Amino acid sequence: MKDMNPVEKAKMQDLMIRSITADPLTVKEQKELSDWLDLNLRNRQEYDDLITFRSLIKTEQVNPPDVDRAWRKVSKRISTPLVAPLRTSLFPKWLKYAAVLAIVSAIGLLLYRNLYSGSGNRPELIFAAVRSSSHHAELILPNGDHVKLQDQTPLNISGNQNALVARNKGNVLVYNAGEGQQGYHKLIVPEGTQYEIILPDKSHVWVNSGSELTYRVDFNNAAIREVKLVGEAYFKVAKDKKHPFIVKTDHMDVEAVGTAFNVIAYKGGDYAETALVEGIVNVTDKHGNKQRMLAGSKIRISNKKVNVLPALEKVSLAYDDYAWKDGVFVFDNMPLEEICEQITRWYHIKIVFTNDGAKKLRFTGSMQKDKPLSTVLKFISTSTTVKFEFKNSTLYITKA
Amino acid sequence: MYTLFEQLFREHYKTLCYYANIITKDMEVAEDVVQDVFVKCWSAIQNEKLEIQQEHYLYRSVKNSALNYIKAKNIRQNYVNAQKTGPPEESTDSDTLVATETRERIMEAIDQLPPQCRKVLILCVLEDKSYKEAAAELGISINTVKSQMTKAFSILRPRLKDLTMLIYFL
Repeated sequence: MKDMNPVEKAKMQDLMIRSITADPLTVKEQKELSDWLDLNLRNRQEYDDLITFRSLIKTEQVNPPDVDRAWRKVSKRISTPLVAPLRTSLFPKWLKYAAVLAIVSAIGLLLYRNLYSGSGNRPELIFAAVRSSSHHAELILPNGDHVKLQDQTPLNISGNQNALVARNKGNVLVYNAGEGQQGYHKLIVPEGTQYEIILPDKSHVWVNSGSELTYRVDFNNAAIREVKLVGEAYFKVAKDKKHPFIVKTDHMDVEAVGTAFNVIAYKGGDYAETALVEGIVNVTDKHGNKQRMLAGSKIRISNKKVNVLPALEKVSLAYDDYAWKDGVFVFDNMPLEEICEQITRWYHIKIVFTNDGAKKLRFTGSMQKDKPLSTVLKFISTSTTVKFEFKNSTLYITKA
Repeated sequence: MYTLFEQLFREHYKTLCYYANIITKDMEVAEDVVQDVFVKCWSAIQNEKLEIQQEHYLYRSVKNSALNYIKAKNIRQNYVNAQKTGPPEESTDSDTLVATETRERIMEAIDQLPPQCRKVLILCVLEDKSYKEAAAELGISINTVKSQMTKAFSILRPRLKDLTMLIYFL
């Protein structure tokens, strides 16, 4: 290039650059460029570099991104309220549910009778017998012993040197801050019951039906407050900035400092989910993708999509995501399929949909969880057109 | 703030998607990556950890997220390959690895270009826009597009020098 004048050099640069863009060269320009490239090897090398550059960064035949569509998606995601909406919206919502409940139960009884008045065996009688909490939670100690946690009688759990580790009263297990204890405890909560536990750092955990929570007994001595969860639990973490609180599950880890959140990670479930009620948590999936969550949002990792999505799916949060901890079922326009997941775990029965139509039906209502199965089914059958049949401890649901 | 943010989004979304696509090679994934970055960016702005006009931050975050995605994908791919019976196909693995590293270097180089240079480069090379279309979209003259392209490549050229050699090694 030394032998070229600056004007000609600049022109060749321009032609080379344009040749890798969508800006077409004229026939004359093309000729000029190729003559120049043939002039010496250095020119050719420079051009080859450009071509390689283009081929490395460019994907041919791309669907151009749709900015409007993308903005709609993003604006939806960022419009989730920053502060937990609970305090303001919870109460009216409850009233709304209560009203629905009252009306529904009144009509429900009438309809329910009509619906089943033909069939020979009265399902009402069978359902009435299906109740929850026939099982007790168990605690597995470091030495492998299983301790049954009875609902009524207070129970003291001792560690080595007979020091008191925890007390159990009702459905609540309370740990001492006591030091010098070692090993892991595992709380197993069977289907049909739920349990509350207060960890040595005063963090409060509600463990849902069919779930297991494992944690160190010397929780307070560890640099990281770590628990392992299989199933569903609601955490109200005691503030301690120096010791992060981490919930480990098979699909994601949730790191908190002092906040309240619900985690769902059932074995064999289709998804893992974190719903953040207060504060801030960091969620990390198993590929190391980390996301900071803000209050009022919900992150779900679908098992089916785990190989496709780099992004954690986000949805906004409602009270029915974690109402279970207060001992109530709350269904806010929830598909029957999801409702049945909760019913299955709570009443410990199998549910089969005889056709897919019923799965997508939606239902709104709320109910205390200590009611028998018949009460739930009564609600559902009032506002949706489904038929229930109970055979061999399996509930068959058919869209009428 | 919201309106400003929407402006920021509309101004940069498409360009960032093409930028992410350098490494993801899948526009749908690229879009997911960019949308996530904007959502994160919004919360950072809300928490007053970020000023709203941070173009450089956007490019850097998009680059990092896209790289994280591709690295995770490669790890999964290697794992799948390792599960398969028969001799492992070493060459393809190292191919993608070197190509990813090279693309990462290119993205870093693009990242460091002056904002308008970068935008012009992405429009003309990746979005298949002619100089005239690029000029119209950015509201600048065709001559400015031309000079920005020349400027972009004069900055990039020293970094591209060993590219061809590197690729021939594969």
